[in-house]
Amino acid sequence: MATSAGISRPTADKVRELVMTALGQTKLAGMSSVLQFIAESFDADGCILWEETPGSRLKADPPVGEFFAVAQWFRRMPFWTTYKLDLGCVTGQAVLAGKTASVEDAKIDPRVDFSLPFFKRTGIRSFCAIPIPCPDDRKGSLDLYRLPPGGFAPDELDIARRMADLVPGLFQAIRDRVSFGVLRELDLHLQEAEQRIAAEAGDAAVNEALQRACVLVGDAFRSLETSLVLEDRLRTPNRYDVVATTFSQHVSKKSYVAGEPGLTPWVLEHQRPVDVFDLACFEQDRPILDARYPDITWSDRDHVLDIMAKRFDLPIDDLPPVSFICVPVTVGERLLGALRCCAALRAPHYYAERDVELLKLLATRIGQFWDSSQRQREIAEKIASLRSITEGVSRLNRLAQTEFQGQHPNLRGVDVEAVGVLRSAVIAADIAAVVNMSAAGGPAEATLPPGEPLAPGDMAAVLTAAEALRAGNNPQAGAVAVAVPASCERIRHMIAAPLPADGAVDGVLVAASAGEREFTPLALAVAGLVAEQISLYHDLARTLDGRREAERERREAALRQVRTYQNLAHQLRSPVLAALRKVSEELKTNLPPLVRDQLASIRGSLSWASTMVWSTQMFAQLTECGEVLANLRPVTRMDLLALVQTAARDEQERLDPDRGIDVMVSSAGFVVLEQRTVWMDLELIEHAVSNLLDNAGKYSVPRSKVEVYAGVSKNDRFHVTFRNKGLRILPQDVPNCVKRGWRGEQAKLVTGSGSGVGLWLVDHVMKAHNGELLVLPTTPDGWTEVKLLFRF
Amino acid sequence: MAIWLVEDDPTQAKDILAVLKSAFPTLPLLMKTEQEFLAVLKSTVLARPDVVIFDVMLPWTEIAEDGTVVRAPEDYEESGGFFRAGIRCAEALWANPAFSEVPAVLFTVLTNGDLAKDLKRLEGRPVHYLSKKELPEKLIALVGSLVGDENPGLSAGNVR
Repeated sequence: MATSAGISRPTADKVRELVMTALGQTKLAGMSSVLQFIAESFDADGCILWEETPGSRLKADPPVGEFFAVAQWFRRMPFWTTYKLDLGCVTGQAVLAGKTASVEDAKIDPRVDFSLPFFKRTGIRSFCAIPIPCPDDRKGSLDLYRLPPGGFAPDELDIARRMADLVPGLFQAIRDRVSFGVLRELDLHLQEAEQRIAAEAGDAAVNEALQRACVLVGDAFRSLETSLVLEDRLRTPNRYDVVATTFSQHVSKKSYVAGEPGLTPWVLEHQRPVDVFDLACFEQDRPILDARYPDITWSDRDHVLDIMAKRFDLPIDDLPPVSFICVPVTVGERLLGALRCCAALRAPHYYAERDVELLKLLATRIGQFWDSSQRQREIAEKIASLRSITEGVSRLNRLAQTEFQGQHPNLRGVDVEAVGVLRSAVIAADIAAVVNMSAAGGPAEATLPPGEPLAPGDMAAVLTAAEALRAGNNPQAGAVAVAVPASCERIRHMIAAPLPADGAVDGVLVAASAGEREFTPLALAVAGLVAEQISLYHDLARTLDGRREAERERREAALRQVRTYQNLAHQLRSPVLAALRKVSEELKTNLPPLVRDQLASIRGSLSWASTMVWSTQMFAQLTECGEVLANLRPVTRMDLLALVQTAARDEQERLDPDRGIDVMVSSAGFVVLEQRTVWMDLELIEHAVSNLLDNAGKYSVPRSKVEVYAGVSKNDRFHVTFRNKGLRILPQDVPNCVKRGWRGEQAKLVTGSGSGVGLWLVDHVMKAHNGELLVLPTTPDGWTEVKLLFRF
Repeated sequence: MAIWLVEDDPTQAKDILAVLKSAFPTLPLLMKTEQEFLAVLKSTVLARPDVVIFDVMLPWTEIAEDGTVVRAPEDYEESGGFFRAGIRCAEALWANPAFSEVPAVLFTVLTNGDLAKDLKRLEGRPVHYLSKKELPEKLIALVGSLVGDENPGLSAGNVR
């Protein structure tokens, strides 16, 4: 029975089984199972899939090249390493002729060199070679081997050819499946890692994910070594460190720089893959490789071959192909690093050109992960930096505030704190200093964190940077990158920000990095901010100094003024009092009415002058020490009454007779003083009374009375009350009446003289008596009352 | 002959009036505040004064019997308030075309230096400064010269 395609049913079943076997494979090494199925279908003892090496030129005349074992299966031998099958052998000739070749007995067949190690080791006596097409327009052969002689029957060969025709496609299917599998597995792994890292960002998690990715790639490529080198652009820019490897004990070189000798640096420099089929069988392919990879150096090769020879325990010449591929890891146009695989330990023992594409895809996915984690770390660093600067400036402000509250602010301490803030907020700032410069261009002085002196070379670099910025004389420049002097060995990068003062550069804030990492724009902004803060503090300190000096001068001037007032008042006091006493004595004598009137008028004026002298003295005393000092003594009714009556008479004398105001004193209430004791300083009270009478007189309406009376208040105080009808005191004005310098609007219009200190002085006089000046708002019927309240 | 006196201090006003009465035949017209002077100035019933004697520091007004106070002009404080009231009064006098030639005597306790700015600004005006420290004869002589009476009937003994 045959199928519609003319194939016998048993053959069709075999072919279906072959396909099913192939589709069940998940690794490239599964190709051995496919070959096993084919071999066992013909009761063969072995099967090898051969393919021309990449350097072969079978179409040339004469053709040159070799074949290598893509995959193999042997019933008794676990592994056969030889792959260098030359064109002169039966298989080579079959491939070149495009016809199946069959050898019944290798021992006697003249086409076969039976002395080859292959026959000795395997015991093979018969075999057939079936040419097949391979990917990339290459040629190959599926060879079936049997131990006994006898060869393969024609129908066997016919079925074998049908199966062999399927082998390249099946191999490609397995390869695609493996490729998809590893891509998917890597993607899932990195997705999980990204989620984990997003939740708790940390370098350890990133490194762990990369190592796992490396292992996944290594498994897919069956490689002895799979390594990943990446640039940490935030910490070590332009340096490519081995961040993950499956062969750590033999990867002695831990970091690379693009362009240095070696295969990996070549990839980094050119951002192109390097793909070497066999580092062992090297010399014959070298011209092709040198042309493909100009200026490449093969310094890694010997090291790899040594390792492989030890690993397989074989001479180098007997090793399977030692393949090497390395691809750049990029995101867009940006190079991040390189991913390399070296030496396939399991079949197929080589990397095909198609594997380069797979490795590039894997590298791209790893690149996305690395770029994402770098960005995430960058964001985390920015957030940390911003948080640090926010907290730092807040701390700085509190410190500055504390310092400025003192008499002598320690600006150096503030500078030291500012330097610390800068170092906390800018990760790369290994060194930070505030360089204060004298305006006269004298030597600069650096403020550093305590206990962290700078090496002479570093200090020189910092001062040079500061001088350069001062020479630029652009106080508003903000933070800028500055050149590091060639003589400085340690510092790699520097930024500096001017500290402006009065339009010039008063100092410079410098940050320096000893590492590879350059300062970011954020670092410049942070440095600019800290510099502005420092300038602000310095400016504030200068302003405060100026104000304190001005305040000191003002106080001295005020004190001199007080002394002058006191001195002038003192000088006035004696003649005024002498004149007053004299006039008072004269008035006690018999005088003609006209003279008496004149003297009374003069006495009134002198009395007022005496009160003004006293007011001046009190004003000076209150300005200087804030209180009136009283010399208290028990007062008699007669003394106080006489004092009030005399003051009233004097006030009457001063009043304009045309206004018709009468000053009247009611003596009845003063009798209380005969039963109870009140302590007073009569000299102070005399002037207090004069002040209150003067106010009452000035602000009374024409043809009214100013009344003075005394008594005991409801709260058991002795009071002397002055009441009149005139300008009204509104309730809201009551508190203002005793304020220094306050005068009512209407009061200013009806009397120009007066400075608004009269009630203020009286208030202090009463406080010196432990008493009270009580100003009451004008009653509805027009009475205004002011009371002097004394405790008994 | 008409003499106006603008003086707020009752004692001083009394003395000055006594001096003027002793030397000149007419009774001077006394005004005690700036507001009263301006009111008199607006009055059409009074004859043109021959001389006006101003104190410089004057209150704006007096309290009326009903307790009210006439409001001051809005620019009162800005124009010097109490401290330049006499100067403002003199300027108000001269602002009236009929009175532009009336001589004014600034009779004050302020010194020449205190008034330097005002006196400079009033250059060209018929203004005369006399300190209150001076003896009454000087006031009489000055007023006499201004009113065309070269030999006023002054007797120093009559003053004060």
